[in-house]
Amino acid sequence: MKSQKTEGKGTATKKRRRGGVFRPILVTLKQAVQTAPLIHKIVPGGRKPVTFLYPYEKLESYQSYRGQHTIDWFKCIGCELCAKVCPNECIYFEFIKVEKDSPYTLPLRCKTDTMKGQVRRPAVDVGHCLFCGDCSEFCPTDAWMFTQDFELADYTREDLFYHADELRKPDELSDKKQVLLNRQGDEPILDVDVCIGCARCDRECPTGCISMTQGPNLRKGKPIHIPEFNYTVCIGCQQCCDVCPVDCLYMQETTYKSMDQFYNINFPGEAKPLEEWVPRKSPRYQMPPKR
Amino acid sequence: MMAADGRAVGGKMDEAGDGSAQQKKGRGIVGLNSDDFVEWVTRKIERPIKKGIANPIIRTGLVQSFLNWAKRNSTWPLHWGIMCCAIEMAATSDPRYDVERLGVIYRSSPRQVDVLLLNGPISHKLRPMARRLYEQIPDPKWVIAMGECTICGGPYYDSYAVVKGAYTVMPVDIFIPGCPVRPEALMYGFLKLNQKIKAEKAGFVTTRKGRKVSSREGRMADFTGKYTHEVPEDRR
Repeated sequence: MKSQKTEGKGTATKKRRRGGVFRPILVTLKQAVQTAPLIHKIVPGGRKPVTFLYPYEKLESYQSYRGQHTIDWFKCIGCELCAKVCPNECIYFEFIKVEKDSPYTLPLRCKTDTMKGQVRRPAVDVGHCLFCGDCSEFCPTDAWMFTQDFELADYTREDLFYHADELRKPDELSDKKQVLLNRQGDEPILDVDVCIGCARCDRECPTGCISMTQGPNLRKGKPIHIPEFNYTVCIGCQQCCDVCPVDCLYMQETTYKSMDQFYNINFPGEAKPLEEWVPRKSPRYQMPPKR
Repeated sequence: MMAADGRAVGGKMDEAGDGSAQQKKGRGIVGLNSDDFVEWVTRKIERPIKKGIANPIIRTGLVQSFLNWAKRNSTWPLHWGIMCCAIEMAATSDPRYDVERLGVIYRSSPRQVDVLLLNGPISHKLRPMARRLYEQIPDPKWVIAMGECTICGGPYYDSYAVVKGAYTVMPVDIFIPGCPVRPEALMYGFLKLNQKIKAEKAGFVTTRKGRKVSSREGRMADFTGKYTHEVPEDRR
């Protein structure tokens, strides 16, 4: 369908406009007066200036905007799932020695950490990060979130590597509520005949969903201790598959996981589906009214 | 004043026996050809600045402070887009985020710019051209690495065809992480560069973590991760 401008184009004769070659200058001056600060209220047909003065005023970004990473140390259980789903492999885990009565020692952590008196918390190479938000989406405990801080520019490369305690969320902002959800959708399956019964998966499981029971084993010809999984507690973190010395465990999608479980978490820690954070009609993107 | 200097220069050239004395006489600086003009600039401007001006007021006030003010308020980047961060580079110069407020004007020739704005992964095929562009920029010059692809290769970090970070090819002053960086983040990077140029006299700048680093020039890393100042021959 043709617009009004293009319909009359063929028949209408060329109009003479005043100004001649000075017309572009006149138009520019007119625009300058109409959009000048404070004058646009007095001048008829005046419009607000479009330019947004960045260092002095900051644009309000969405709640789901992904800027600097933050980790809630009260919620994180050190399952290392974020490092596994990261497409850039820019997440590293740091082992931090803690005392026995430290607030960061959760009941939910693997037995090796309890024995050694340590916690493991993620550190990020921000200069390598894609800001895709997979770590936040797949986190089974809602511990990972992003602030709206985008001013990350720095003078040296090595200062872009953020250690674990530099990414810690302030303690007073945390609600310290434990969440456990299997957002990965995969669960470990055991090859019984390959298993040697070393119980390393039991020691490395952060949720304690593995219990060693007597089971049959064809290779040995007699029953040995094999892991039994409690799939209601399992979060699909693949930690047992990674430490298995004989590769007798593999991940398989056992249940259908709908996309409703994928949440987007803002900085204070509220989890909502992405559609609720981003409204359909945003006031930011409305064009200025036409004259 | 300039015309008077030019006339004096013209007179001196005539004394040297250049030949076309009558043509040059009375034209001033406008009448010089390019070689003579370069010679005039080196003798009248470049040499006194390099030698050091005796008058302390002129030296500190005019040469250091004024030139520093002029440098940090006219950081002209090269209009050179490699990949998708170039779209954000274009968005910064649109009326909404008017980056020309900060004196950032895009120029199309490396001879006219101060800043090399790298936006995107530098492939091994592009690497010598990027290095040549850096060497074509006249001093003083700065390099901004924009986006994660330029900083360390980004999602192509294990690719056979991509350089693992621009800082292995040329010294980089500002690193702006993001994928892509916001227009405001790019403007913040330029403001950081302003601070770095302003701190030339002090000699150090503090990073985001509070560490003090040199403000003289960016540093370049070896393939092994150690910092060097020389470019190996196979990377030129």
